[in-house]
Amino acid sequence: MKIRNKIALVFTLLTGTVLLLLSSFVYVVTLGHIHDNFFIRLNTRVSIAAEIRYADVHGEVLAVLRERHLQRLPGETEMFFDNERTSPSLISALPELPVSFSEDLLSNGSGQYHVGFWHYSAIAYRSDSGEHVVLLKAFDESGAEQAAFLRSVLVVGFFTSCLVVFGIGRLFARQIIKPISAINAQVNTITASDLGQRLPASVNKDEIAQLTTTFNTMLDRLETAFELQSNFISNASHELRTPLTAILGESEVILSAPRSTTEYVDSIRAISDEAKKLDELTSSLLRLCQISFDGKKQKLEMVMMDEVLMGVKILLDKRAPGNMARILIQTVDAEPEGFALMCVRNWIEVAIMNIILNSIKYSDNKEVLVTLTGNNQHFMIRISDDGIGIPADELPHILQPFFRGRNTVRYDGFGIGLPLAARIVKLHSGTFEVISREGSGTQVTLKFPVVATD
Amino acid sequence: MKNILIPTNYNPDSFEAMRMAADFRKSVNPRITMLSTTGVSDSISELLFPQNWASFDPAKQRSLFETWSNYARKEGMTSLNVSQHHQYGLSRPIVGQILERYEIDLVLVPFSFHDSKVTIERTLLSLLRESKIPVMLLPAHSDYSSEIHRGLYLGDKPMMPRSPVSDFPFHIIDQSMIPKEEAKSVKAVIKKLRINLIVLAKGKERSASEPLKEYGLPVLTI
Repeated sequence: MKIRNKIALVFTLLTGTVLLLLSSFVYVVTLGHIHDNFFIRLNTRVSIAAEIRYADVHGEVLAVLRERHLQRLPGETEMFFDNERTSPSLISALPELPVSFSEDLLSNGSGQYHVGFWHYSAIAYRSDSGEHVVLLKAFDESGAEQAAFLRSVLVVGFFTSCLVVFGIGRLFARQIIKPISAINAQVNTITASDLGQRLPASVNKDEIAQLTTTFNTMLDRLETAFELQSNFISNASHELRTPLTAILGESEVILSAPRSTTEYVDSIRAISDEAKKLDELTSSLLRLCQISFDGKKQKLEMVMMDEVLMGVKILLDKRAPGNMARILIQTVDAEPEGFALMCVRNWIEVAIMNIILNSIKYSDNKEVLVTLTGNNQHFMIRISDDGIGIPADELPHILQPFFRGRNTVRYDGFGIGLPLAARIVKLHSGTFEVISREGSGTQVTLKFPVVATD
Repeated sequence: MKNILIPTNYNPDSFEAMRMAADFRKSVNPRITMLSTTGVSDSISELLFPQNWASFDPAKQRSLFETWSNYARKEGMTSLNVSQHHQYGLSRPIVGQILERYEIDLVLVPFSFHDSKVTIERTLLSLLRESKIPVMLLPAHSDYSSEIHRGLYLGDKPMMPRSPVSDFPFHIIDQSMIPKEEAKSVKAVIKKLRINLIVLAKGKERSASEPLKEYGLPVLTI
């Protein structure tokens, strides 16, 4: 069932229930009122009938007045029970009356009862000749007509109202659903190859506008992801192809004619160098993928960042002997846990190492300053160099895999180190900030929240 | 570090402060607020017949903004938000409200303002120093590096762990972070580590003016 019909039905059901309850209440109250009114008339008549029959003085006068001025009621019947215990006589004369009627009569001196629109009224009357019971029964024809009319009005009114409410509900639901239908139609036109389309922004600030914004934000993310993926594939293919082409070219050249041993050795060395590059690139890619997809599966351990930095310095001296990296760590005797981080130690080492190696590379081995400082909320590793810097317009793209600045042509690299480091930092709830000015240097700040110790 | 306040009397060296604030802009996008002030006399007669109340020369103001406009146009900083606030009369709550209103997180003081003998300007400087906002005093000469990369924290006690070091876009190096064999004299450290900013803790133990004269570098009190 369509949401439009569902909304209309729910709307009708709710209104119908309320109408039904209201109609029932009106009918029951009105019926009670009709019965009460008829009993008032009947009680008057039963008193007059008793006076006519048993009063010595005015009986005949009253009988004349009644005949002249009081209209007889439909089915009006008078019954008199003289000088005897009335209960058994009443029950035998009128078996449709309940026992409670005669009990009321005996205890209160009067009784009323109705079966449908047949009404019974009786009074106990004391005269000189003894105790009597006078009973009058009559049919409330007018009341029955009024009740039937009211019933038909309420039934017709109920069903008509339900129909009208359903119709209005559908129109109303249609108006509500209209923007969603429009969004649906628009979204159906967006395909993977046409992610640039966006839903028209709504001027209202309702849930539909929020839905539109959410869709547009999702499309932004999807478009970026598709673009990144596309760039990644083309860049990765290019980067993988370059050493492969060199290997193939070198092997074809060396196999094209007989060569001397020295030439073979040189050629194999060149092939080996290119294969190493290929190995390094595929290892980096593999690590990037692992960190991207298996981040939650790795084992976390509590690590002191000052120890990590010291470890990085030792590794750095092995990998880049003669480097000018200077690591300075703030004294934190008061809060020794201030530099603690729950992390995958190897990954954090890889991240810091990549950034420092980048700084060394792009500053032509000038001094690289690494500081570890903090306050009671965060601790921060700041790595700065006096290198070539990053052009301002390229700064937003530096975290895309394989992106390389236009001023890095003379430096080897794949453009994976910085994106990898940024992903590792983000996986550890840290922030990664780069401040750079072309020709002046780059400063990378990694900021981590302090681990709560209590 | 987004909003920078420059207390000024519109002397030409205020331009250096603006330039430095703009350098911070390249990294953290600040809004610069120029704050000038005029004292209000207690004398009823002076209040009834006001003279020229401004404590700065409007011609200097025009000239400064002209220089700044040319520089901003040349450097492509036309979108940088520079606003002016002139305050008649000062009190501690007023200064507090100004800092709060403009959400200031750094005060850059040009040397001419720092060196001013005008009472109201000295009062303003004193109130700014007493506030919790970091204050940076700039030296008289303009050949200090406008790009701040490294600050050296000088203090008898190590830099407090609660200090807002992470908010500044430059390294702040505590003396305790430097190996003892290298930290024999401050001047040697400044030269060796290419320090271009002195950092002090706010307080009365040490005046910011002394290192300003001694080392000729901007002094930041935090």
